[in-house]
Amino acid sequence: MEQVSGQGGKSGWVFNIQRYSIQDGPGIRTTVFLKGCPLTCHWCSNPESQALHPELLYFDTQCTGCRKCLEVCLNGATLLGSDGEIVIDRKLCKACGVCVDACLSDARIISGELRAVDDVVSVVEKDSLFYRNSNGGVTFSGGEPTYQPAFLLELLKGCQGKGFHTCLDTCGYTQWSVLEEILEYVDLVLFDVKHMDPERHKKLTGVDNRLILDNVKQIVGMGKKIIIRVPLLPGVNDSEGNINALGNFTSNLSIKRLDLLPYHRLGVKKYERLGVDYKLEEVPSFKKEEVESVKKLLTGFGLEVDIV
Amino acid sequence: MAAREDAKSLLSERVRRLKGDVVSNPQTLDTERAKFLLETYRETEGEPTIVRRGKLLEKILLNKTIYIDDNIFVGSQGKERQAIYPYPEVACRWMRREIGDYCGVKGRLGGTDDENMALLQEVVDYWYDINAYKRTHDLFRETTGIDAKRFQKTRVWADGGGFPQGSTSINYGKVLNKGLKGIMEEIEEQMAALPMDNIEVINKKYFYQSMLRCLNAVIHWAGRYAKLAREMAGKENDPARKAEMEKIAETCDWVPANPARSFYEALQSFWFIHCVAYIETGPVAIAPGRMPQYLYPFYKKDKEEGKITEEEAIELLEMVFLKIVEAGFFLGGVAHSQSQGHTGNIIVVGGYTPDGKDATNEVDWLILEAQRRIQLPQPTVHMMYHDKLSEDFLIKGVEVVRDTGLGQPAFFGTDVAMKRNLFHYPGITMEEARDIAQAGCIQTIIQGSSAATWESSPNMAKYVELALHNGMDPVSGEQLGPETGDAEKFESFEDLFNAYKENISYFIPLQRRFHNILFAIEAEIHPTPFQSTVIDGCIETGIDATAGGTKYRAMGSNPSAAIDAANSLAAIKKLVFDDKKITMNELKDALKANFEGNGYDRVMKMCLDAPKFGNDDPYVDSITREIYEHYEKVHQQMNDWADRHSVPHAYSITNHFNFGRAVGALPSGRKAGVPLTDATVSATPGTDMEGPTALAKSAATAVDTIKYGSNHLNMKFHPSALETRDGCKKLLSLIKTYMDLGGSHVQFNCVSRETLEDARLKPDQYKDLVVRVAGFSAFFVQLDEGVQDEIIKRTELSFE
Ligand code: SF4
Ligand code: SF4
Repeated sequence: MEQVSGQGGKSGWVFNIQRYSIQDGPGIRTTVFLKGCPLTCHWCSNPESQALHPELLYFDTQCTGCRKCLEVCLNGATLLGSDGEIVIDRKLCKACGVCVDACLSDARIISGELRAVDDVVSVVEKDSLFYRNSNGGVTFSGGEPTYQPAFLLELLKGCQGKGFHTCLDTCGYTQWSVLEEILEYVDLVLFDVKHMDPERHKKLTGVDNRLILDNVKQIVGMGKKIIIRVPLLPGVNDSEGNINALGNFTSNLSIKRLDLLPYHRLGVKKYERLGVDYKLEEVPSFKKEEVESVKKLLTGFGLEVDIV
Repeated sequence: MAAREDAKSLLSERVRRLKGDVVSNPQTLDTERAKFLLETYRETEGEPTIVRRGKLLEKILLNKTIYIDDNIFVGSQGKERQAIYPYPEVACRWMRREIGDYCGVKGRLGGTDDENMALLQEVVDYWYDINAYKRTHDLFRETTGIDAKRFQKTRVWADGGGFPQGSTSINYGKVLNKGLKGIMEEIEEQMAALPMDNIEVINKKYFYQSMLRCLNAVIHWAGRYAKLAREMAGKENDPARKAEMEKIAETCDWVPANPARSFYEALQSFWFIHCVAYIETGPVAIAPGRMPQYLYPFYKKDKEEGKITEEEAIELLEMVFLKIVEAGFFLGGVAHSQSQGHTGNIIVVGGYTPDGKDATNEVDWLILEAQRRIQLPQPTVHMMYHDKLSEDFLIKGVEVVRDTGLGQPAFFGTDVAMKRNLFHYPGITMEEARDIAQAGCIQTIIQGSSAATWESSPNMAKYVELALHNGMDPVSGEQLGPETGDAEKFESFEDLFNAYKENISYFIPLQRRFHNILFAIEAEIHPTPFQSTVIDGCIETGIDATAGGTKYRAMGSNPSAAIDAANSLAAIKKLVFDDKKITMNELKDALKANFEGNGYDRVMKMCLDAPKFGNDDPYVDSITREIYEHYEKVHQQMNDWADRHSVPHAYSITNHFNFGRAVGALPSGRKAGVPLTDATVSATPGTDMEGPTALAKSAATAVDTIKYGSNHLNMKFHPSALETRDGCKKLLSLIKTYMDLGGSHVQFNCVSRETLEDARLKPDQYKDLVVRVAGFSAFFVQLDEGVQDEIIKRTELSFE
């Protein structure tokens, strides 16, 4: 995997820092979203996180059609479509942000910013009293945070150095030697498991799951706290066979907790904004009972299961 | 989740019916008091005011129409349910001006028939030139040479005159335990001990006599209910109802004259006293206060003797709440738009015992549950937060927030309020300092012994306009403020900030003078001999509550729209002085044009993008703090009308609407006429993009909450954030941290379906609205329609 952060990890690509994040680990947390991901999950609710480089997001619902962006783009990336609508040529767009400044309707933003470690840590530090009062801390998520390993390592060191509880939200597709070094500074791992079947996994995410499952075993072996997180997709990974395989795998490793994240379509709009096709359009949202029955199945393996 | 509906379904059939009546019927004008007022003043010409006021209350209580309805508690202000009184002696010129636009708490009034109107006009004629408000304006003009109406009209301030003010905390516990007879003995002792040698003593004697007359009248009034109940019992065929009537008769014969003997008697006694206070001054901001503290001994005794169940106690509380919500005061359309007729009936749960332990008892729980079920806008329930409150009690509080969507309970920092009391009242005992209630909206007071008179709200955003125009108001074209120089010639941000502060230094003392005159005149025209019997300090000193006789007093003003001012000043600092993106001239031109035409939309965007309060950004938060600091300094330079130290406040009522209409476009990017920012440390809608922790941090640092008597933070929450126990706990951590940081008040307004629909129409005002669905947080306005629909549907489920 490539070493992608700039300046020996002193800075890296961040697409969002969310304060009062309450679904990414215990207590009140700040979640730092790092850009870039080796996987290409079809259902990803943060598609703007997949590429490492900055991208232009365009919110057509907010666009008034004033065409100011058209005038200022020097790269010819903003054009008029056949019906006079605004079209962005993604191949030409350099995400320079000139049109963002010109747009008076907040219809454009650049996702992704090169930020220094100290800068990120100082934002995390702002809510320290909230962490103390809630047993919270900082979570690194993405994209895939280990995609920028040197940057992540520095961030983790910086945050642990300040005494904060650290959480890593990872898809686990990283060489163990890299992950091992990172984990030294992680208090809790939120580990995504998408499918137990290697073939299906590859089809859905673009990569094989062997490395991922091996990493789970390694993490358990080193005695790290871990929570398995499963994005639950109707008709994709909620079959009894897959859930049983998941239950067996986790309980054999004596993992105690598993979170279910039922699929939602909140991310759909984001694909449009990025000009990317959404491949899972036809999947319906979950019914409550369906999620509950998956939960029941997993609880049968002695797991503590939360629906997030 | 349909928690809201579940909670309502627990109401008894009787309570549901009573609530239905109150909710669906309008308030009506009741001129009985006006008639008695005229009669009394004609009969008592030449007598001292304090005597006349006692006789007035006596006449009302002995002669007013009384009724008994389906509520187990009896006693009402008006002659029928939801009937309300005008108080023309306080102010009445508007009653002639705004004929046909009379309002109560709930908007337009019923009962304005010809006979009533003729009577009202007669009493208005009588008071037209001698009411307190008119006389205040006259005297202010004579002493300062300024017509204060200019300030009211241009909305530089909203003064505290024109409506009757209570803002007190009655010592209900004393009434419940001693009975009015016990209090009368106290008064008689004081009177007997008076030396007979000077004018002051004679005045005190009149005062004590008037107090006794009032208390006798209250006992008689209760007796009238006993008689009526007995008559009704005689005619009643339903044995259950007959027994109830007999119980009412027996109760009214006993309380409030004597000490209460049961939970039910305690509540009836409380209500009689509370209601007479309403009758005397109008139901404005007379706070029930720490009900759990003074009711608990009665509940405990009944419970131990097996005389009451929890369910019965909850139903009784609900019926008292219904009595409270029936009350209203009479005002014109203009005043209604300012205050929305909020009656300020605040019940306080939680808090400390006198020796600093957690004071929570079973009645605290019962009150929360009663409010969770009945879901009325008044009374409001506040929780005095501290670290010793039990986890389950706190979670119960959050559940009430979630299940009712009323923003209740609001949470208050007990420790900061305690420090505040110690700071403001030298010599106060630690025990008293811990005995905290709230009056008005959110002012800290001491239970049973203080008054918190509301001085006025200055329009802090207007000062920005004045500072930019050398004291001239660009909206009205009038020279209102001091000449602080041409803004175009300011060389630094400091020059501008100084011009802004000069406006504070100019207007606040003027305001104080106006209100010192107002309250001195009010004390002279309508003292309150009844309320003085039940607020600590007045019997001991022989001085009426309105003349400063209460043991503690916190008169003060509360600035509105300081956040708009801070955002505006920050934008100028950033754009004109630091980044030099535009000149002061260009900015002023854009403001004048209301950001319209000429490419001014670009200027508006720059203004909107400048730092905004509520994002934990020191660039603007420090300006906010400095505004409030300067305000406090100026505010504390003058004493109140009884020559006591005052306490500045920071809450906004609903002036942000009313003021907003008179303020042009602002450098914050706000357009002309749009409402200003609500509360006093809330963010302008659509501008706090960093979430609740950032807002809490900005809010906690905005004002010195020990020096100020209050601050006011509203936060929006989507109920889904509170669906799980874990979500509730995280909110509690947020509250605790806010209090640890020095915050003093926070209220969580759960987002309703209407809000979300409004957000769809006006996305720019809801940019900061976060919703959470299935493990995903998102800004609502950025979601596509289908998903928005889904979220609205979920919200509907939990809040219909
Ligand atoms: S980001 Fe730059 S290149 Fe892309 S559309 Fe906007 S102006 Fe053109
Ligand atoms: S500048 Fe903004 S609002 Fe105008 S057309 Fe471009 S994207 Fe739409």
